[in-house]
Amino acid sequence: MTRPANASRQTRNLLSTLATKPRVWRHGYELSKETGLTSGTLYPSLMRLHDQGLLESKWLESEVSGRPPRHLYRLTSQGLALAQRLAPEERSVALGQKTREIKA
Amino acid sequence: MKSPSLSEWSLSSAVMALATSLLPAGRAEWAAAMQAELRSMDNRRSAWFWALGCLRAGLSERFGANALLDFRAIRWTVSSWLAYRAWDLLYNAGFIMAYKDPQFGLQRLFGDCAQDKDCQRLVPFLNATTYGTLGAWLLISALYSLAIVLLLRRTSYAARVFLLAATLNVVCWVRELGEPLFVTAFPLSDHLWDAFLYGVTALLGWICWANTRKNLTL
Repeated sequence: MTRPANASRQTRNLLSTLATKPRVWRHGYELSKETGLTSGTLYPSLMRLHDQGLLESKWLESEVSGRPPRHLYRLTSQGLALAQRLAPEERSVALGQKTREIKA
Repeated sequence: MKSPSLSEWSLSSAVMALATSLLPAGRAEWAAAMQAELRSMDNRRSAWFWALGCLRAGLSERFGANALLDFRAIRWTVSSWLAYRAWDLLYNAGFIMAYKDPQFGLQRLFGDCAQDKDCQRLVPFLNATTYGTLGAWLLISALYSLAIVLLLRRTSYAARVFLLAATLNVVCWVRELGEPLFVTAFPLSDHLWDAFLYGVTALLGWICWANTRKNLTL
């Protein structure tokens, strides 16, 4: 079972991004740009979320001819529930960062 | 936006091929997903960084802390190190206990070489070392031995026992460093060697701990 209190900052960021539009399927590069995570951090997090049943995936044919189908992701209901549980903590972290920035 | 040239594509693709080859067989779908993203990119810089990131992901999946202890060779290497640490403590405790017991005649032997500078430095330390310290060394040695058994049996408690033993070991060492008799009993090179040993032990302890944590967290 997952232990939300131990979720890394990157995973929280990813969960919160995925939770903003929970019904929309998104591909890896789009998620990388939205979260600011590199593929080296993003994919291990996606794999772990998928392993734990928090993320679902599907393949979609590319609209551009000659390009391979892309792997798309969105949160499962369990993933969304976890993202919502973590959201207040994520917001307080973001608020703390903003406060530090203003003070600086 | 400049489209990537063939050679740049080849380089990114080669890095990506390496990255995906590192992923375990169970991650084949993810390997295909990474490659599909790369082939969907128009920006050469993004493609290059994407491939490098995927290489990092491949390495972390293959050799990351989560998988390290899955390798028998790594488990045996860590266990051998712990066995060395356990033996070192056991030997030191045994030696000092033998010194303190007149039956073994070590005190007489050291008395015979009283003119030797090494003896002059060592004897006060041997005399001042308490049975409490020796007991602590034996306990730590036993904990290291227990950690070896748990590690080889791939029990999740192995990391905790290892860290407990290593922490106690470091605490004892730091406490000893506060004793002038201990500091003067050995040359600086011996203390530096000790620091190196504790550094390696801490590194291995961290790997085991990361292994446990990764199995528990997202």
